[in-house]
Amino acid sequence: MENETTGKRKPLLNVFDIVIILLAAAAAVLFLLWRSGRLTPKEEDVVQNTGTVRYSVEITNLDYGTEEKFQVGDELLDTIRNFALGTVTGVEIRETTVMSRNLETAEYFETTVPDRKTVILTVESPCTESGSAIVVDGGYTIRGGSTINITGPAYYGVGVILFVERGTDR
Amino acid sequence: MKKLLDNRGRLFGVISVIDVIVILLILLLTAGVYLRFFVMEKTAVATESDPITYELLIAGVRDYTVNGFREGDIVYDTVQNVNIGTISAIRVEPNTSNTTLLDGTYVTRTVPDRYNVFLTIDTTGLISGNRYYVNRTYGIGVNTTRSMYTKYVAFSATVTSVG
Repeated sequence: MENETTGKRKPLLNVFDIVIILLAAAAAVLFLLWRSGRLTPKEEDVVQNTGTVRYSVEITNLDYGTEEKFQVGDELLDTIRNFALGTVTGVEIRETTVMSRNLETAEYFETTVPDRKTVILTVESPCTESGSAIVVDGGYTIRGGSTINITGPAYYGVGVILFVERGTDR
Repeated sequence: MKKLLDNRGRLFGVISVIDVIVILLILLLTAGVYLRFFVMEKTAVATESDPITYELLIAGVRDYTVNGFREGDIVYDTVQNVNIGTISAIRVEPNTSNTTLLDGTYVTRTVPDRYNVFLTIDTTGLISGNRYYVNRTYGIGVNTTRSMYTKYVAFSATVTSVG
């Protein structure tokens, strides 16, 4: 359609048309998301409890002397996203051991690694619990068997979460 | 009385005919997608869910991990983040490994303080042509290894039996 005075072509859609189209498209997307159930949280994702969780972290193969840096009362953070992970309430220092094999008999046995220590930290934190996850106060999901990157006062460490105490056991 | 269509192409002088057509097209498209994916599919496979029981092996773990499992815990797939069943039984055996002697022969040896955990998982799904789909979409079969988790433990497991 051409303007008779200027000779310019009128755009096919004006701003009002575009706004209406976008609103209608947004409504359609929301409707489909709602029907697919993606807008409503799954039953297992709904927060069921808030409280305190206790879990343990093992950091192994520490250079001799480093283990002394880990102290009760240390506030731990996740080194990747700076999530608060809780407060250290227990520190257990052990020798570092590895699984080895007798080359003649092929028997497996554990042997101590000289000048290397392993630290097992007990950590407590406020948490929220749903049916499928325990999320500590800072927003970090903790599960036994998963790797965790921690930092405390003047130290860093990569460890494994050994176990997470169950609500029924606390 | 207002004209049905004014000289600017607006219905009753309020909304453009083009707007009305576009809105109707979007509504029709939405209804079509909804019927295709949320109604027609359900009627096409309107069979009841079949009970499925399968067994998982979590090999070579320490007692911390063993103690992290309890009957009644729900298991989820890590990648798809879906519920894939409930633990109905737990069996624990010593972990063994095949290893070589100096003469090159293989022998089986027990690994101290390491365990194999067998979890029996109960769920429902679709059994079609001898293939098993938990929740109708999550295919499982013997010898597949996946990353999984419960509320308390993350682990890697291999399916050892399905039935």
